[in-house]
Amino acid sequence: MSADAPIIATDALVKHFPTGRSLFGRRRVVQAVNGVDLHVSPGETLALVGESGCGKTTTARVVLGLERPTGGGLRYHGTPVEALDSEARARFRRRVQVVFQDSNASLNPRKTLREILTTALVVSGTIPSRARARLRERVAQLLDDVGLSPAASFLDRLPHELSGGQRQRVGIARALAPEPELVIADEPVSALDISVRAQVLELMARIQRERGVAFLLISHDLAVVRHVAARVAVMYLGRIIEEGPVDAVFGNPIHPYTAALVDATPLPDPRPEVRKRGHLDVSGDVPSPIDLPSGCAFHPRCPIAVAHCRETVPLLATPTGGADLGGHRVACHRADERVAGLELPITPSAGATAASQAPPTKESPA
Amino acid sequence: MTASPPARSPGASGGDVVLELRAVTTEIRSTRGRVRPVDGVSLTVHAGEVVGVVGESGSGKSMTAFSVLQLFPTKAARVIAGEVLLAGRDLLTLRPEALRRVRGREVAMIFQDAASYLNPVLTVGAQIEQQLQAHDMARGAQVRVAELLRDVGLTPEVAKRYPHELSGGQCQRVGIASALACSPALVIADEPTTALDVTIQAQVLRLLARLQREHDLALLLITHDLGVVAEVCDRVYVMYAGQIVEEAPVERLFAEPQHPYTQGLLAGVLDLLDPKPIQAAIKGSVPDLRDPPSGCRFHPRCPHVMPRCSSDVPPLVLRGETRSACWLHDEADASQGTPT
Repeated sequence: MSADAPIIATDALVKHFPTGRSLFGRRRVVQAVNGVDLHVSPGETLALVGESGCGKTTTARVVLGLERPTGGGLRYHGTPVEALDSEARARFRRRVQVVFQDSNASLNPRKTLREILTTALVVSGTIPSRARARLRERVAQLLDDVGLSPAASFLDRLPHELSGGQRQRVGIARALAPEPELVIADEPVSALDISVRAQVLELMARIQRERGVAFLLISHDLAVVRHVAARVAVMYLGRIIEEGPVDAVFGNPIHPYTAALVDATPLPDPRPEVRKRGHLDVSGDVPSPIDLPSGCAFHPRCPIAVAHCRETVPLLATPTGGADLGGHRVACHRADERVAGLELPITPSAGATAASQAPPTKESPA
Repeated sequence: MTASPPARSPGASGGDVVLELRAVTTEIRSTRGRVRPVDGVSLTVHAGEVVGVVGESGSGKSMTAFSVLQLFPTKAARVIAGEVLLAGRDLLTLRPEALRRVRGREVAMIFQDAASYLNPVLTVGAQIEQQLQAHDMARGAQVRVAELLRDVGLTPEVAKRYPHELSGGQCQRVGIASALACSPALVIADEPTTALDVTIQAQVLRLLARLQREHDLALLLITHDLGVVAEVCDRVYVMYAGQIVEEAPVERLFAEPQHPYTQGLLAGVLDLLDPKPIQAAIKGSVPDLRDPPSGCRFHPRCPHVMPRCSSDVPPLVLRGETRSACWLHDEADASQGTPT
């Protein structure tokens, strides 16, 4: 294990789920994750965004070791997880923690907060069960850290005696118990109301600032991501299609899908002058991950797709011809053109003219 | 009561009042006590106007919507006071069959989870036809169904499909088509895009906005999402713990929120294009309505709380184009010597 390696890194991670057979006995699989490379370095926040079914949660589950990958690998501090010795594996289990979306389902309804947090400390091997005094002190400290104070008034409560926001704080406290270096947070604020969401996000930001914990944030909410993450990877049908610093990716999206996501996100500002946007209107629904479209999986919905997009899967790469993009990478055959500032027609009706500019054959969009 | 009072804040369209709620109170009785999720709510919707009701969970915004047609998710809920005037007629006094004729015909609803309220064993076309038949509009129903489906951006072939064969976005389009089937004057949409992905949400919002314009509908939109409010509403009511705390034209609400709760809500909204440090402006969480706080219901969480707030209920007071219920404004007005 090397010190400067990312905490976790995935190499061409693949996860397929079998779903029975088709009429003629061909085995069918849901291609949930289809070759994902990502890494999280100490102290950073990487966000994985995308719509339902894009594979972001499956990716997180593989990283957590809750799912075995179908292909590709996962490295912990540079060492493939299969090659970790038992001590290193235990450290991986302890130092990589998770916060789930539904705190109602992820906390044992029959255990008090004291029991929940004590269990987390003991099972992870952070504090031995015989060190009663230390456990008591640490549990109170954890509740205090996540803003459930005075701790004494919360220790003996059951999860149902808390509000949604308070329960999510308990989820965070439990994740923090083993002193993790990475917390994977799967939609941690999606179930919360605005006022409570702000409280929880503020808490997460403080934890990161004070403890240098890295976060892998799984979210469908671009606005949340923009506010808490430094780097973002956008997923579509099992692949990362754009990745880079949040300001670059959301401020200047290159992939047409990212542009559509940014455009579709409602802005909390009714003034007409701020509301003028590109209106990159992506039509239709996300296709089934069982029958993935050929080539670029986004091509059937893409307003600027050309024939090439149907044939070849674009790889995540730094577009050429642009200025220094600061690690901004895109998986789009037309990325170079978009970066070069070509005014590409971005309305579906203009797709036909777009097709004529690009190699190799002409086509008219259906 | 047939004469409607002058509208205190004219709608964007300045049209006639289509719907007026006067001091509506809805109660849910259970073994654990009585709860009033809607407590003295008054609101108006004008012809051709999009009115938003925004609030967090438990604010009573959806129960307010259900109170209009008295379609509640639980039998224990009942409107116990107030008036629901539809074009001047009080819906609360109607007999069940008369009310049934209003539902779908004059006032239609769109729900959050379209996939679950569509009948799973009937084709989409059959369901919309049923609706037309129920309101004696069976003649030419098939043609009308095709027309409705086209209007919401679906192909007429969708009529032969079952709900499970459609995506969430398509189901919601079917829900909208079915709401429009009898050309209602008012559509109530309860979180119509909350269950949808963001690109699909944008499609559905754009569709709703287009249909609202084309059919000159009055639309009452219930949502928790201030982004959606900014996107489509003309005028907004903000609800907190069963009561309206602020009402304003949408641009005024975002530019100069008056009530500390609205201010806190807006401070907590994250703008994708305008990142700022996250600030949790409102502490705590929504109160238990079995035992609501005395005085102003927001006072235990309010950063500007004064002694008076815990004892006296603040009335909604009009200042400029905004009405808000907060004692602070009284103080401000008094110190400036302006009468309230």
